[in-house]
Amino acid sequence: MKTAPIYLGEFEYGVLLAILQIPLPYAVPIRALLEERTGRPVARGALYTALERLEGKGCVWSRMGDPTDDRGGKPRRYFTVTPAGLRALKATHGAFANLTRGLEAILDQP
Amino acid sequence: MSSHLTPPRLAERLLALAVADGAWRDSILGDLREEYIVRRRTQGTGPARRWYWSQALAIGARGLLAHVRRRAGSTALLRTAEIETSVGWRAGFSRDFLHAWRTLVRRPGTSAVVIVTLALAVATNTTSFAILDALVLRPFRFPDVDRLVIIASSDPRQGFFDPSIIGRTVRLDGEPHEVVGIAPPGFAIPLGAQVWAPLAYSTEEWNNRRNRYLMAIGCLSEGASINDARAEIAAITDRLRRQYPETNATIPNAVAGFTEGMSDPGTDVFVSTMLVASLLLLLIACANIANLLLAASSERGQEFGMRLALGASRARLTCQLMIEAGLLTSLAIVLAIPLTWAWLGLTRASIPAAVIRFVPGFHSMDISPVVFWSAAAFGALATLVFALIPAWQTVRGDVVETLRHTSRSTTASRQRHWLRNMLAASQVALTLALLFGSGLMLTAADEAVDAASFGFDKHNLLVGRLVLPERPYADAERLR
Repeated sequence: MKTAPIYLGEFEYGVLLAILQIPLPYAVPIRALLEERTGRPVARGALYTALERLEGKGCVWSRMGDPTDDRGGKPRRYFTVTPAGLRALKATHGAFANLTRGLEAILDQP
Repeated sequence: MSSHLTPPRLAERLLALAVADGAWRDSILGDLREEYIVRRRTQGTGPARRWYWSQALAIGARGLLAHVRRRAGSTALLRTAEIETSVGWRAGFSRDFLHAWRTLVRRPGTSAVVIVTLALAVATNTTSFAILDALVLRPFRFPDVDRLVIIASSDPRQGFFDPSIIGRTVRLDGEPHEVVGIAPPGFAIPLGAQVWAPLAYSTEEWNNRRNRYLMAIGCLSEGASINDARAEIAAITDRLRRQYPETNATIPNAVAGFTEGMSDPGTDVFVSTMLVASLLLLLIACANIANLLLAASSERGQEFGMRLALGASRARLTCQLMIEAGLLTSLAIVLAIPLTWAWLGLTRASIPAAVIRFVPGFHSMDISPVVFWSAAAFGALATLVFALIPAWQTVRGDVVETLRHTSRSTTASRQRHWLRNMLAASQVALTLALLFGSGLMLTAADEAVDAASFGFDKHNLLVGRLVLPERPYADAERLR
């Protein structure tokens, strides 16, 4: 049975890609990577909201790490992309790829 | 360890309050602390702290907004009109309000004691201040009273109020006097004066330098201070002392502000003591209320644990308790208004009208809105704080722990016991202070009217004062 497709926003798309890039992804390196690769500032609040939403949609799941002293005894929350998240990512990526086909001449211009 | 090694504690607390979900809260606080430490190392403490504040506020605001939106409807309708969000809030609030009302009604004893205690304390404070304000702070309320000075050396509502009396002749002490004007209401100088007539001295009386019963009242000219007046009077007194050393050597040069000069000595001390006593009473009331609320809330550990387990957020439970405290305070304030009126009425009625005439400011005794609301706000704050402390203890704990441990052995209840003991101890201490104070005041009052200080037996004695018209009783023989 085919499940209903999950729609990803542009920011959610970016967040899922960043999670896949990082070996032990939690909010701090995810945000750093997003800023570094996109060249745009990312608000922490927006990232937490997006992560919570993605978890709600079933695109990621999270687990708590061990509490550490440099975090005041608070644990890290590590994220993993779920199979559903991966499907949503592929669908969105495919949709963008379809949309950009034929525009290479414009998009690849420096 | 310096406190600056860690992020601003208040910002952390605020953020923790704003993020409803416990697991998210911990990871977000940890992330921010991790980044704070890096920033402190690279940019210094000041910028790092400012950065932390801005992040905490931004994330906290977003967290609250998300919370509101979730309560307003499904996440699919995130961008629906704002009105829907407010309807969600309103619905939540009215539910909480109803629940708070039911909770108060369910324990009528506790609620009634809290309301009556707070109302009595607020009413007592407002009454005491009304008396202090009327008798000590502003006994004379007419224009430019600040510019009046007294140089030391009638109730008009009693029948002279017909304006047509101006120009008519009345007899005072058997002498005809023409009425030239009517003094404004409240103008009773000296106290109890009903009629004013010019001084008519004979030449002999004018030259008598031993008459010292007169007190002059003057108005400072524009821009002059009371010190200018003192300097001028001192110069005059010095000159007169040199000129008439026999009679004037011992005359003091005293200039006082009008309110200060006309006030009864001792009134300020007496009324201020009363005000301090009623402040103590307010403190005792607050401690009492705190104890009651603590006792009531420990019974509710189960209820809160259950609600948390069923998915209620900590913010929601805190909000619930605040509404309950607010409801208690509002009811107390409603009760305090008629109580204050009644006490002011009793105070007025306790002094005979013939005496009131000589008490400056007695008629202006009234409820001051500022004091009433200050006392009410103080009570409200106490109620809120002491409703929130136990709530916080319950709500902040682990859900499972809260549900499992209702016995007295848990840390939370040990803390609560400590708090209750402390409150009870402070209550007893304050009550003792108040009792001793009242005892001292009564002893002092008793000593003031004690026979010993007068040198005669005051029992079975009646004192009367007879004022006779001057002209018919001019000589000593007739006076006898």
